[in-house]
Amino acid sequence: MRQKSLRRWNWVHEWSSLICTPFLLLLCITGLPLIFHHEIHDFTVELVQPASPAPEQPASLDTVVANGLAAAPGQVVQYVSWDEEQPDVVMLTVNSAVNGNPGDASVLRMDAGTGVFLDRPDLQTGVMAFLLQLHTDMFLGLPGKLFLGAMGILFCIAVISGIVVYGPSMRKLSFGDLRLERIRLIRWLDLHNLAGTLLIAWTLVVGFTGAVNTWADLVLQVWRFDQLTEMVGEHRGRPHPETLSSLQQAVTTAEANVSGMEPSVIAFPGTPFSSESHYMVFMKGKTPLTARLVKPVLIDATNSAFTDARQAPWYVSALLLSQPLHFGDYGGLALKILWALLDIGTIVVLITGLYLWVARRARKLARLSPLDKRDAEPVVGSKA
Amino acid sequence: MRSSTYALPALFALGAAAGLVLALIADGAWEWIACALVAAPVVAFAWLLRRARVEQAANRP
Repeated sequence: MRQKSLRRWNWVHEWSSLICTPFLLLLCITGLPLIFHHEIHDFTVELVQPASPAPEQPASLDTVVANGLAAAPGQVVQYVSWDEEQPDVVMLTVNSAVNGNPGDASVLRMDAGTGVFLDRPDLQTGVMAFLLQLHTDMFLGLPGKLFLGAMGILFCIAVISGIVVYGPSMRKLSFGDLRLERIRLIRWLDLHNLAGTLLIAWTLVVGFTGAVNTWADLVLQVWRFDQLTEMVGEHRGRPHPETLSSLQQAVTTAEANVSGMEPSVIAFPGTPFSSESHYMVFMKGKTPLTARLVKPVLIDATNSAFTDARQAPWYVSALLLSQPLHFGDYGGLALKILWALLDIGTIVVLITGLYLWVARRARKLARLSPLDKRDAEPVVGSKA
Repeated sequence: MRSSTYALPALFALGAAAGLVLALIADGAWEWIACALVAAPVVAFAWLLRRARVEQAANRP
């Protein structure tokens, strides 16, 4: 590689790393406990467990909703959802109005077998909620998310430029050589190079999927105004029904029209992801891959009749597939532990990188002779 | 292979990328293979660090 070209790559690596490092350190440190979010939540919060053994026939969703509303007087259901890790539990998202502020919503856990109300966990406060918000938007909302997304892209640039500058710096060394007997600067350079090269794939995948996740709000908005609006089509403008049809019947209709799938989330009429007069049932597949993807099915909320079903657009599928690749929650506890170790490895790369920059800068300054130093200092009052 | 600048890093990167994707679509034994592929760089790092420490201790007068 030509000297000039190498200098350019070095400059790109130096500055892309320097700018993103403080934020990446924040993300890696807050991300570490978030990997075990479910485990920490289960350990610290006493959740009411569903009846065991579960009845052979699960309770009707209409019973579940009625019992939920009885436990939350004055509130309405916005969404019904299921969690893979708690198959015996149905979750109801309730709010003061169907189009209420998402920040005011709360979740009711219901026993899927008996339909009985279990509890209303507080998901908005506590250390984990604080860390999650710090990790996703630094308490700055959408601008914070987009800023962190830009830092994720900058991190990917730092990794790629790091691969380019790694080659020339390893000319006289073999892969994995660690010169522990040399001065600290050399030791940390070797450690930085080794950890950095070993973590290339993981850092690129987690960095890029993290950036994609920061665009989630925008992607979902585009989906709402694009495909979901198109699905509602001629039914737009129909008033909210006085009485909603059977939710259980709506799910049965959706299952009958989309074979090999099961409900994942149901948006109630009037919520941002449905029309005023329809249930939107988001169906998911049953294989490890298709369980990550959804297919929206529009069901008339006046008679539970089928209206329309579409394949989710590519950008929504890309977002949904990027989420597990960022969170590392798709391969059980073993993968979560690996995710934590790789996260710690990334912290090592970031800290050693920062140290190398500071140490090299200090050495450069120290090399300047007293005369040079005097020349380098700006002359007070000079026009230059 | 160790003397090649990019051979082993590329091998580890390809293995880890394959492991990450495989874990997303695999079930059962394949899931463990996927985890092993993702774990390979961590194991390599620990092994190389240990080897360097042992060599350093052996060379110390």
